[in-house]
Amino acid sequence: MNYLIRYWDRVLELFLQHVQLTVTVLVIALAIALPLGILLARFQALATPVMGLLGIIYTIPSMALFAMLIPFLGLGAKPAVTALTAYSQVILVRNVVVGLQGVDPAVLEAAVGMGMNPWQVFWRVRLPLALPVMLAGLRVAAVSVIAIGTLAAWINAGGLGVLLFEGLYQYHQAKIVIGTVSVALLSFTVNFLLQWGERRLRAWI
Amino acid sequence: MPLETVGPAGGSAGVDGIAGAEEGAGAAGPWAIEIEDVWKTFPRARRPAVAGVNLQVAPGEFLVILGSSGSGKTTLLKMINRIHDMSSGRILVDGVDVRSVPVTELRRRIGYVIQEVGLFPHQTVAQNIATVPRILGWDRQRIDRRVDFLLDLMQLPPEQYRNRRPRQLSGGQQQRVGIARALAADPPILLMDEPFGSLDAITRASLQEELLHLQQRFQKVVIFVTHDVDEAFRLADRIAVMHEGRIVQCDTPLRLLNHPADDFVARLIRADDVLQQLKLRPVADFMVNGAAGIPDGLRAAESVPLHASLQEALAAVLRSGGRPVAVVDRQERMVGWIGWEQLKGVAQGPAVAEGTGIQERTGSA
Repeated sequence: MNYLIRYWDRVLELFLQHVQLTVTVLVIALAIALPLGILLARFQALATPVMGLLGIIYTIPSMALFAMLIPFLGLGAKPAVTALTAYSQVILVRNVVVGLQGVDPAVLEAAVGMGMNPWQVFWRVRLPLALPVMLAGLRVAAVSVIAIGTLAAWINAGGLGVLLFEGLYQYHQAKIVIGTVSVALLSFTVNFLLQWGERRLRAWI
Repeated sequence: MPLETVGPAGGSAGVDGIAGAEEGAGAAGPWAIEIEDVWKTFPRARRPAVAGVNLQVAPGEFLVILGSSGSGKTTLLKMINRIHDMSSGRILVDGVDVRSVPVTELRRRIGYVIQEVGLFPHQTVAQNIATVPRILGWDRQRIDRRVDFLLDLMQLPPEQYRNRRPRQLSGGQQQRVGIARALAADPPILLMDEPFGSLDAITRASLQEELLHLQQRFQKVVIFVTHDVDEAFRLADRIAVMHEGRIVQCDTPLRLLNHPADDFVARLIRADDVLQQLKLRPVADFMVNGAAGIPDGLRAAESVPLHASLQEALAAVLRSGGRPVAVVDRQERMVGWIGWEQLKGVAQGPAVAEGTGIQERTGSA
């Protein structure tokens, strides 16, 4: 507790770094996962191999993936963002695909039968109805990025992981506790907010 | 199918094709829909789903396609608005080949109602109904007026239902909205694929009633797919019976009953079952028209609607202790009466039945 009072500005800085890392990863990951998921939902034949590949990436231990990327991207935020983005793909893409394909076929048939063009069917019907499932994917991805993100401190990407590693090396219990509680707090808050958004969306839909 | 049996626009379709022939010939030029030797084989199917269908539908006609599952009836329907594309043949809507116009434009001029309804769950009732008008770029006021008009028409008070979500509605209410949505841009043609198939009997009966009324009021062409024989006879000007991808008979309900084309049709409509026949035949075909010759002891208190079946008439006659009962139109005005003598005719076979006072079915329209 003394540590937190004395160094609250450092803890806050690391906390914000962690948030920044998470947000950066999710923005980039979504920018990839949305078009990719839409493509896979449209061309089913591609879905199996691509999802398989993403699944394989997900099974690589995170430390190993960070290490693998260092020769190409050096230390710091770059390899961390790259690795975390790669991890979140499998969750995000799967939810985009499942969301888009899970739309009631009768609703789509009605839309098509009334003379909507494919563009209108997608934007006015399919996408809005897939949103809750997509948001659920974003939530799971966000929580796992926050968790795995602590390891990014190991390659100098900063974040709350710094406290944890320091605590481990220095046998500094306060740092470990504060680091753990902060990560849990962030994770819990994000999860809660996105879950709330998801519920609102489902009520709306 | 023989052209001379075409029952035209909500008119005298019931007169065993005879009056229909004259009027049909008059309107022979522009058919609302012409289906010419249409085939459809789905990929990897063993036999064609639709095998050489020819069919003409007159403006304002209510045509029911009747068949069991797998008969090709739904496939045929869905080739009209090109949900399925035909393998060969030609379909003309108002004289224009459906493949010569952009498919979205074609569909916006054809109302489409399916069994599952398929309302957009993320939109309100009003937004659902406004779908096609919005695509067509109507201005807001016009859309709002149209939505309220249609909600009123479908017996859903606008102020109460406009802003509801589909999932807050019962199955029957959902299908009412589905029909309103299909009618939104006032299309001349309505395609309906077993629209009442998943509704309970009471709701189904009232929606059938309203659909008939609607169709007569607005003179829409309705093509209605069902496997329910009673429903077909209740609604149709003409019934096209489908079996294994072909139309085995296309006739007015009365001709179908009296002259089934083959064993299949006879079995389908259970031609040898007197009670079933009572269910299929409308009162209007057997009643004595007008108030002329009202027998003594007519129970005006017991009445049946004009479009009721003879089964309902029989029940009413039994309730009145065997005395004749009044037949009334929608406004509860007496338009004729029916008693034992008329009912007996049915059991004694078609020849007698046709001899009795056959009346125009839609005399009140």
